[in-house]
Amino acid sequence: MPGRAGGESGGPHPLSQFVLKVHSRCDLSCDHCYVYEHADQSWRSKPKVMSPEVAGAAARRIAEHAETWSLPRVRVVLHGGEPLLLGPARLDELITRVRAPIEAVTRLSLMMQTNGVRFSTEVGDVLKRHGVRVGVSLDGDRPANDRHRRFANGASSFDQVRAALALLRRPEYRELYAGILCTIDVRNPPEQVYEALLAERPPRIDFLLPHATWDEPPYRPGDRHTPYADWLSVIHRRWLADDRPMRIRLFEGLHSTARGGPSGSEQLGADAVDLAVIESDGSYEQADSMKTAYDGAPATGLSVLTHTVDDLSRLQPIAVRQNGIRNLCDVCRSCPVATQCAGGLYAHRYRTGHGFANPSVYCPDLRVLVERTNEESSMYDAGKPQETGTAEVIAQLASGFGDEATIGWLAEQQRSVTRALLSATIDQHGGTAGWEVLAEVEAEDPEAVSRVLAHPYVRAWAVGMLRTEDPSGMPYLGGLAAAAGVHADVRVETEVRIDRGVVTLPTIGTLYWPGEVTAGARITVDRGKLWLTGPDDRTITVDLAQPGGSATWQPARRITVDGWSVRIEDGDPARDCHGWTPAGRLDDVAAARWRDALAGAWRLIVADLPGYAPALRAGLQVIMPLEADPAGRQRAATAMDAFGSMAAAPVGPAELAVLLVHEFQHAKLGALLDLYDLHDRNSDVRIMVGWKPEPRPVEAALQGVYAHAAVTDVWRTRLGSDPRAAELYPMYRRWTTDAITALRSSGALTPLGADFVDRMAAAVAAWDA
Amino acid sequence: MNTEVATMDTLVGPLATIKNAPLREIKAEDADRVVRRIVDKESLLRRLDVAAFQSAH
Ligand code: SF4
Ligand code: SF4
Repeated sequence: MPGRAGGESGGPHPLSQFVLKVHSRCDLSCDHCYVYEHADQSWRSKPKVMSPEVAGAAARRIAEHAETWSLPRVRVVLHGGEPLLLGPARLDELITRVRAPIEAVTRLSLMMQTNGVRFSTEVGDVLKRHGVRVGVSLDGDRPANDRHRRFANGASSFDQVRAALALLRRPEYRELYAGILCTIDVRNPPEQVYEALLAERPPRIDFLLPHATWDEPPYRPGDRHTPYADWLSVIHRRWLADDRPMRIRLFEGLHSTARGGPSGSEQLGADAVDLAVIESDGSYEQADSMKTAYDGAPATGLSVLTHTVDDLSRLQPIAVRQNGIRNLCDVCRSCPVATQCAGGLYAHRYRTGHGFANPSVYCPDLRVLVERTNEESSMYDAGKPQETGTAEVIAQLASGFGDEATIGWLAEQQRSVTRALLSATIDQHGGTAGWEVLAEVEAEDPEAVSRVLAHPYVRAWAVGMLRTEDPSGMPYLGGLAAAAGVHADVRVETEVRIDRGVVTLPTIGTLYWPGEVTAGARITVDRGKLWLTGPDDRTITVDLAQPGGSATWQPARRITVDGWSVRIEDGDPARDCHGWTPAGRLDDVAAARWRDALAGAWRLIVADLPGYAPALRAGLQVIMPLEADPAGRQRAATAMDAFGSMAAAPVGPAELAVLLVHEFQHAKLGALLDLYDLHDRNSDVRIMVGWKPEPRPVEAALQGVYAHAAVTDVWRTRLGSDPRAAELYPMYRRWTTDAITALRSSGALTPLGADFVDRMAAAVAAWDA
Repeated sequence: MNTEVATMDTLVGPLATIKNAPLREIKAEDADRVVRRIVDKESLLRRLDVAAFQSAH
């Protein structure tokens, strides 16, 4: 019988994904399940649970294999049956056993595929501690899911699965949520399935064709020729129309293979399948989907207890599945979509007497699906509005500067980020009166709201709220609504929170309640007046037309010099995001010192470093005073969640000029990195830089080099006028060029990042000319 | 794992949609994309690895 394992097929090769069957039974009895319902019945003879010893042995085999092949990373998928049948304590022990040997030699990504029924906070905590990402199976809405995914007594699993997904969306577990696996049934209306899955907000969806072979062909209703292609195409069109709100591997794979890229799927495309399955008794098997072919199809006769992974990789069927197009049958090899389809899933090709040397039993569907998807996605690409010139933005920033239009555009993107995050806080914590009022003011005067949302710390506040389960900070939105009400000159009355004695109306001013209380309060804004009513029914009244502050009110302090304008922010509690302790409310003397220093610094920048002025003018809005360092050292910081702000301890104009230039480089690059990946965030590469003793991750090196290039530029302009420049310019220059060289050879830059670094290198090189 | 980079997304498209929507009408799935990127630091590189993730259930 062709395809049965056992025959040697030449040399070993690396495998980097391992599916561990940690529990061989399941608490559901889905009738489409290929573990229990298909030809292969080997589960009956397997131990229920993978013992810690077998798990340890498997991990040692994987580690040894990773070391032999110098694999940069391996993935282990905890699987079953149902892995959560282990319970949290045994799961914890097993994962601990698996991690230790592998993590000693390579990077490990851990995943779990579960039916979700037993997912709980205890399980979530274990998985979070070990960094295990979770995929959950769900076939669509209730009727769709109930069609197959039931308990043995026929009861629906839908509510339990949805509860699991709701848990995975909670802020403390969101990092675990990998996606949803949906098995297609063409009887389920595709639009409804799509909408039900979308409502669960998965980062990714995998659609799986039901397992079938030529011996047991898939269900095809009536006389329809390509029901699976038609079903998927409905979803594909809807997904494009929605501008691809989540990742769908099948479609992304087809978009990719249409351009000669990888497919990312065993179902379609010729990617090598570098995967092994380890059963609960330690035996190696082939991919699970083989269970559908014939009893014993996945068996290899090898075990982690007696054989290495290299031994397994030599086996003929495993090797065959590594070889993509070359091993396809004649029909597939001459098929016009062979590079994108590549015969579909290996198991779907099986026919008794012919083995796997056939096209897929889904062949008509696959052919139509590939062609139609290609056509629909090229129409989509052609119809997409051109994104604001990425190349131009990169070129502007890589020069070290950035004109006002570019930085203004970046600031606009940041406002949209803030809008999205605000709406996510409502989604997470529920609506608030402040939110409703903010939306009402927006309907009257969108510009008023836009001015308030440009306040840098709104995003910092929202990020904080999205990382906590505690909704008590939500009335911050009332302060935003009140501030917008002032700009729009409309009456606003809403709830706010006095946060340690402070209520912030960004861009307008800060209210100080007597005493550092934290309590609910009501705010009213009407015709240039403001009332805050808090504990004990006490009310603070402010006449906004009156200049200057009082014990209870500090109007926003704005400093305007030669067309440049910034605010000093010393009130908003959300400003505490720069890693240093913020200074408290400034008195008039301290505020005057800041005014002088900022005015002096701006004049120096315009005179000596004019290239940096447009970006600062367009992007920097807020200076946040920090407490001075007790030892008198400089303190300054940029917070990546507060674009448009810079924090600094008091300092003279000359130093402040350098700090402004240096820190705003970080802010510009940070805003760019929000939008684009310049480097591979998963890369482990570390880069030696002159300004730190320890090697730095790629992003830190990129940030450092960008800011140090500007400092180099500062000292270059001071050559001849400042004696320190003779030493400092070459030093900074060397640090910058060395780090650029290291980044270029790191292999961790994306094409966009490489372009950015090349342009930065050219800018630095031009300084010598 | 065949983790070649297949495509690269940017946040620019979703942000354009969000910019033009009134606050109350921002779609949860659009906001989610921003949350994943900004709060959860998700990569925009669309790696496609032949994933074991698909191989059961
Ligand atoms: S469409 Fe059919 S013939 Fe073409 S590669 Fe796929 S399975 Fe083979
Ligand atoms: S949950 Fe998965 S393993 Fe369990 S019966 Fe259903 S398909 Fe099979």
